[in-house]
Amino acid sequence: MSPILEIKNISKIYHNKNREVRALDNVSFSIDRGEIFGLLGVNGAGKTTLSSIIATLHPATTGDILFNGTSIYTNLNEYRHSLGLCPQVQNLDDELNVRENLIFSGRYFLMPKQEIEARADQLLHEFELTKYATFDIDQLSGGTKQRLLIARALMHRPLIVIFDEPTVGLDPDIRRKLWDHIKALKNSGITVILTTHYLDEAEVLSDRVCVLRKGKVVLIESVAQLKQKHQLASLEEIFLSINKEDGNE
Amino acid sequence: MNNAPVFWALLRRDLKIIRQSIFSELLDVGCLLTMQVLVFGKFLPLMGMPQENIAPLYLVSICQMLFLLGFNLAFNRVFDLKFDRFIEYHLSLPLNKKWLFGEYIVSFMIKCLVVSLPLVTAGLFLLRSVISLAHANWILFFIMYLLALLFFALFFQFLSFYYEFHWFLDNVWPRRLSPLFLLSASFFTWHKVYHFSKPLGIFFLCNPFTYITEGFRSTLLGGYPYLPIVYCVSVIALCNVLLIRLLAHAVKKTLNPV
Repeated sequence: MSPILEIKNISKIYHNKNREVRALDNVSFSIDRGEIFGLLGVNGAGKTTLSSIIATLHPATTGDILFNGTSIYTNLNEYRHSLGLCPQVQNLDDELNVRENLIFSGRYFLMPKQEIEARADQLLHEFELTKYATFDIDQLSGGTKQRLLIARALMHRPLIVIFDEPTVGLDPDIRRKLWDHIKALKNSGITVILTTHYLDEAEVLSDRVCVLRKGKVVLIESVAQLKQKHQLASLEEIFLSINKEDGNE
Repeated sequence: MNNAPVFWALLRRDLKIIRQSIFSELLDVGCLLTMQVLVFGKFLPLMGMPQENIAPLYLVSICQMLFLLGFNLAFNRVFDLKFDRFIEYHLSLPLNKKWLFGEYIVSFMIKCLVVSLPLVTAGLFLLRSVISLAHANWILFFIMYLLALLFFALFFQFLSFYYEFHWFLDNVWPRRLSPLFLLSASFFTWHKVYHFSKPLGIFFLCNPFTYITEGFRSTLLGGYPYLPIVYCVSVIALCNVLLIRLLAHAVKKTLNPV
């Protein structure tokens, strides 16, 4: 399968009070079209930094990202049209109601006028938000906001969706429902980049996982291959075992 | 590619919000206007303030209102940067960042204009017995007004990106905004300050706020004894150029967008 995204030698260096912080160190890998790619690592490993660079929120210090073989930086706006972002913080537009959040998202991504309303209604239905359509954002529960956040990210029919810790702080039953939504994206051919530190979530959802530690890629493999290689039953055990091998207990 | 339609979509959203809140805003304006008419039209003349001092002081209240609107904008922005991060959604949109920040500025200017212009015009009309507008140059006034709005938009956006949340909340009023307001030609015209103390007059010329207040006076009340309008317009235009550079620097420092 041809890669949709190629991360090439990405490094990110911050300068914090004259101290150099290397958040990402020469990270390279590729993501295949239509797969769910899990980015794992402990807090501070560089997951969010990497996903925010892929989402073009911040630039890399060095390196490049290729989208369908072309650097994303040659035409950022075109790349952004192919990208949906579901960030860790539920940053919905609280001046607009639920439906308007979707409508305006469609406008920002220059969808045809006649398509916007139909697409918004379709997503409201798919994400069981129809009864909340005229609700203000602050009337919604955390789980409902998260569903709306995903719907907003999908509004303009992106090819790639980035989820940054999508289920943090949510009840177990809501987590499961969101997993179903993420799986459904894969089934519809969308590529998913999933940043999480819930290993059960990564295990259930990801086709391949990439483990980051201190800004470096430690491994990239499918969950099944990892289980076979390490002869362990769960991703959590494998993760702990790798940490032990590397002296990071 | 296609920056203008996205810019317009963002502006449409902001105009919708302005429309939604216009009634409440105009109610606030009505309260402010009532107080201004009472104070400047009744109380101050009754307490013996000479008529020629009332108009220059009233025009400062316009600047004060823009100041407060600007502070609200800056407060919302620092809060968003610290907690909501709604700006990250905007950063992910297919829009060049210069256009995005340009939209923020235009949106603020429109909001201020919608809120403040009725107050200014109604105030000047209701206070016509104490404020003579015989020498007013309305075109120059409007130019000065737009330049002042741009100044406040840029200045408060700069503050919100440059200073971190807690510093902004605790220190920005006493250390940045109060000196800017108090050490300018707010309570006295610049010429009065200069006649009282030449060094103080020259010091006040370093404050852009002096040029905004004097610019309003000069365009509405006639050239002399206020700073020439050419100076005021030129200095504020120059300050705006400088603020664009400073804002770009502050945005890079805080957000480092692509």
